[in-house]
Amino acid sequence: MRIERIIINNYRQFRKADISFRKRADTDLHYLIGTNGTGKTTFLNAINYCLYGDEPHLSKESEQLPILNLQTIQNMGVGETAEICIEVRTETEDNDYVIFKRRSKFIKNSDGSISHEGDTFEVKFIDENKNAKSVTDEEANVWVERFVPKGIREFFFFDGERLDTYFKEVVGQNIQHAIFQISQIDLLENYIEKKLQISLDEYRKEAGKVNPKIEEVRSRLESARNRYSEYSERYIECDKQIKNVKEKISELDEKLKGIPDIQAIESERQILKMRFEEENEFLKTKEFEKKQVIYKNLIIVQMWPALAKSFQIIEEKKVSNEIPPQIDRSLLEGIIKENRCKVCDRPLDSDALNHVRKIVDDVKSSSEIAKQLLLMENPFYLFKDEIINYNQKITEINQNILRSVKDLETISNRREQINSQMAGYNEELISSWYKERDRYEELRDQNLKNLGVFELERTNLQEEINKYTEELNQELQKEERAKEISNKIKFCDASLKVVNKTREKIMKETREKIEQETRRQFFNLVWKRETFENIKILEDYSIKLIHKMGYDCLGSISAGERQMLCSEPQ
Amino acid sequence: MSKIKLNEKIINGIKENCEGDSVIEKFLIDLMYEEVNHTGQWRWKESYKQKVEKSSSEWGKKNEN
Repeated sequence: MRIERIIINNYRQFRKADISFRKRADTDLHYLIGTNGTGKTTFLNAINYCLYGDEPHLSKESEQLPILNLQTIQNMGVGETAEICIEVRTETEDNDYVIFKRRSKFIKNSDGSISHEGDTFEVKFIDENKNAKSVTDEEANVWVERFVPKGIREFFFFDGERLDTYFKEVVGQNIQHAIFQISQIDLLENYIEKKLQISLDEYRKEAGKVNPKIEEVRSRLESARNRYSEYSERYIECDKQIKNVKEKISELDEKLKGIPDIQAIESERQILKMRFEEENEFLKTKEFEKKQVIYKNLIIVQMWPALAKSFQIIEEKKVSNEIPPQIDRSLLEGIIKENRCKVCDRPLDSDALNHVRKIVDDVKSSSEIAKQLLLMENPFYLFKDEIINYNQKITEINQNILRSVKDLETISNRREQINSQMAGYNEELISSWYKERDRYEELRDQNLKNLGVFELERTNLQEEINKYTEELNQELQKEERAKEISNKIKFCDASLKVVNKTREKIMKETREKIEQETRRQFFNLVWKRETFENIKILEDYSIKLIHKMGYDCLGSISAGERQMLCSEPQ
Repeated sequence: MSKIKLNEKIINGIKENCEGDSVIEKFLIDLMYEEVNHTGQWRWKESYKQKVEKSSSEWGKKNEN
């Protein structure tokens, strides 16, 4: 059924309006677009008023105004009546029509006020014999309930400006509920299946009265089924909670998008602070250690250049064979004493004797120096070891100091970076969002665990149910007195299986069709089609929009895109 | 017969899943019409009982044969 025309008379700002909705080949989705105050919401209210007798989208300002058109009121004399008449003309799949028409009568009082005199509601249609028929009031309301049930009217007529809100409210179960009602799956699930199950249970109870063994198995079966229902309820509740929690997490993720992770940053801050203090302490220790090493070795450090020079001289003198001296002093002294050369045995003249005496003097003084120098050599090696040790220590301390200074600089830079990153954020508020998200994540994980447990229980109980059903059938088979009732049980059981299979099949097909249609409409209209890969309708009828990169991006799309997507299942 | 139509897919689904069992098929389609026409009827048990009795007896006989 589709609305093909709406005629409004004397309703609020519409004195006379007649709007047709032509069907296009590619789509039958209609959008009313107009600037504020042009009557979009009033138009929506007019449809609701006609079908349900109320105005769910009325603004506070409009509530103050009479429902009857102001111009009409002005033209009315005292005691005169006028009526609001709204007609919603629809077209059925067989190209027949169904017209919903509401008339509200008003009278003008002597003080100029308007009183509501009463309503008539009528539905006109073509019956199976192609005759025009008409029903009114209660009977007419049944028609409305069947075609556009009040409980799910927002799926037929909705305020575009509020679509984004609907999207949040009308997820999962609500959509599923609406789809089930529209596609009549609810008839199978909530009426036929339930009622047949009740009938089956009663027949089984009746059979139990015939034979105690039957009653025993029946009672076990009933208990297993009760426990199964209990776990199913818990499973559904848990699943619902998971969905709600996930929704909350995604809302918080949305809020926190682009905002630094305060908790992580705060913990990094604390770590940096601790590290800074530790490093600073280390630096101070090393600097003190360095001072101590220098103080302890001050003398040797200061003397080291002179010592090194002396050592160099000794080495040089050793190389040049100056030390130890090569001249035999006793030989020369013997020459002077005997006044004769010990080599050629000739007597010495005075010049030669003086020369030998000079050599002896020179040798005497140089030997003394050489002796002193040689005496210095051993302690020098000790000093050298000390200075090497000193240098190693100082190098090591300096390296530590250098690294520490560098680390402190890095820590300070990161701290400054964090401070500038956090400038302008309300850290307390953000922190509370993070904490809230952590709590929800914990709750989700706990519920997921519970869900697994409930699912396992259900599987086990289903096995029990199958076993007891089989046992019960066998017992019934044996009992001749329960033959008739056994036949009814088998019949109900077989019928229930068909209902079950049919329901699942229709649910699957319906979901697939919605998914296909949503995809078609969305990708036909959406302006960023290259961004999105696919749309999926999950088993609970919630929507997943898949980004080209493969992730679910429903939370990050614009309000317009969300409205577009939301309008498709409707 | 009501003007309110049943979802054709459900009717076809029932037919398909009955796998030729005309008694159950007829019984379930009858129940569907019953629910469409008398939604919320509080004396449904009576009506269901009668339908089950009638159909199960026919079903039993057919199966015996």
